[in-house]
Amino acid sequence: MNQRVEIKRLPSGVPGLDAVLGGGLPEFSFNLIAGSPGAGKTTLAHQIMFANASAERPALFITILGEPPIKMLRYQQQYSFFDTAKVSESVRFLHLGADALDRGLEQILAGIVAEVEATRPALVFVDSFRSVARRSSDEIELQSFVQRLSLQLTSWEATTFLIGEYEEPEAAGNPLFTIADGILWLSQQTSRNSIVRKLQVSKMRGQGQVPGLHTMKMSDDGIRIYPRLPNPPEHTAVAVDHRERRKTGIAGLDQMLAGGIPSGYSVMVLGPSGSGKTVLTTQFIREGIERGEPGVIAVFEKRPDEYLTTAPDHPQLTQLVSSGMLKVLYIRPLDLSVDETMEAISAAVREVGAKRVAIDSLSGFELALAPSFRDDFRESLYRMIGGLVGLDVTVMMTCELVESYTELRFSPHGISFLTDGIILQRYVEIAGVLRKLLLVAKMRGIDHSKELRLYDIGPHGIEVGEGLAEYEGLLSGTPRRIGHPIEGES
Amino acid sequence: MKPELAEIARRVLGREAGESASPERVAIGAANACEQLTQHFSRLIGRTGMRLLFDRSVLLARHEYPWLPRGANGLDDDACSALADALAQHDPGTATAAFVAVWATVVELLGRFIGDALVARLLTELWPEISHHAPSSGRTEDEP
Repeated sequence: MNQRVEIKRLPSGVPGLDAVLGGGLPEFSFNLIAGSPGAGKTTLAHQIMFANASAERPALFITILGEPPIKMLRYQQQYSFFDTAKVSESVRFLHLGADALDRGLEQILAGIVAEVEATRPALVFVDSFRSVARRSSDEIELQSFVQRLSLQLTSWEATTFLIGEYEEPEAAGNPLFTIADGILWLSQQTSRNSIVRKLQVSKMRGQGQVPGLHTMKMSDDGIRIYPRLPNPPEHTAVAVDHRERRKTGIAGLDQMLAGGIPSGYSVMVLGPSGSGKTVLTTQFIREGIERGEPGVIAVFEKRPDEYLTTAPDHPQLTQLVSSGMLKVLYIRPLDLSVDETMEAISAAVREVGAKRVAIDSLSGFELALAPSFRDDFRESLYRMIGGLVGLDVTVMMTCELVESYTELRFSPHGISFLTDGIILQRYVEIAGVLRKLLLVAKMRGIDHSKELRLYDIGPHGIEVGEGLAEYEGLLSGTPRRIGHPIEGES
Repeated sequence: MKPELAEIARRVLGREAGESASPERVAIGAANACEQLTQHFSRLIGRTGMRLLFDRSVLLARHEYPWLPRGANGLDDDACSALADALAQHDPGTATAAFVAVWATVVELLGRFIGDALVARLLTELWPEISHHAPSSGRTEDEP
């Protein structure tokens, strides 16, 4: 007989946080929301409170020193989650004030307990608990106080949140951190001119929280958490033969690919500026739509309207957006995070039921990232590609490559190994004319063409031409006809 | 001072003091109304915050009623009693007008800080039959 107690989990009301917590906030738990000033602790507490407070589950918000309540209420009302109708009905505020502190920890405990006994809240918040803790210089006294507070509130079946200004080094040896069932750390990381907010669930008894630092954003709707992308799951071994082929919309390229790109593959299109990377990805997306496969294009350099009007056949693209077969995302907020990008693309994929995704471009994406995320660009991209492919979409990404004729590079970030395929575009001079070359450098499990083929960009996009079998040294930028020595050479 | 708040203040005083108000009854009613308001809102914004708003309201009302008592540095626990004592020295009409000026200004200031909707809710808790009309929001154009 299984007699294990089942812990009910309360929804936090903070998008993305429940996933990080491992399912929600454990009922009757005793939690600490810690972080530096301005990290968003009070806002997080209010958002949780207003999401959960009801007539059956009333909430009590106790303020002690810290931010003056008149200002706290003024500012918190600016968030959409603040529901004035709940105040005094299911949400009660109580300001204990400085004089409560003067009377000592025993009196503070008595004051809180008296209020809890009188109002029987299911949710209790104490802001700022740091000011209470500072009242005692005796660690044993503080430990006893925290323990009794925890027991009292738990005995009243209250889920409790203490809010306090703490820095991470203070956690060691602090009895509060030992007694708390859950600890939510909020922090702000500064890198150059950018500040990125992070949330970490460093402890959540009884459930498996997602470890690591998760991106946190604040807007008029309050806090939103972008859970850190996990490492991609073990690659499901689907034989290439069993994968559908996604036609690119470029007959010559499909021929080089022996029928198209296998579904679920990630492909990087590399090339110098103006080589037609965007044109190729747009054709890939359009071809999919014509075959009934909706698509998503995530742009990082141009705005969607600008993107649509500069793409070949742009009127048709605009029409496809209107029809709901195509979603063009412009993801360029300040200090972007990879997790946020993934969230936006995933939402768009779900919205239109996309089978194809284009990211244009990785170079712009890297620039849009907050500096602190750029440091982990390769790792982040690895997780993002894994996440996207996990959505059962075929992904095409463009990447700007500075032309170099002394080496054959496949990406400026050393990221080419992350993808299943690489299509390379290059410039070459032939008979005094600058021409464009295309090469399928890699396509896992496919017996693709190894030819270097000329291509042109016409009114309908890329048209792949003939191979250049009679030339050698094409990748050096100065090819010569085989059997035709350069003048002066013997 | 907003007319609708002045009207609510008059009705609150009428309820606390009774209809046939003598100077003493006006003073007692004003003290009750003042105490209830400050205690109720002190739970929310703290006693210090409430006392400071009250003291500011008295100062503003002193332009018209200079005999109103100034709070002792805004932290006087007996501010409501002091107000009542001062009102008791005047005829009911003047005392009522002075009380309305102070009380309505406190409520208006509260509304500016924490929002009229929230203030209206809390007033309704205190005087459900009187303050069912929410104060209109924001600062009026002719206000400084």
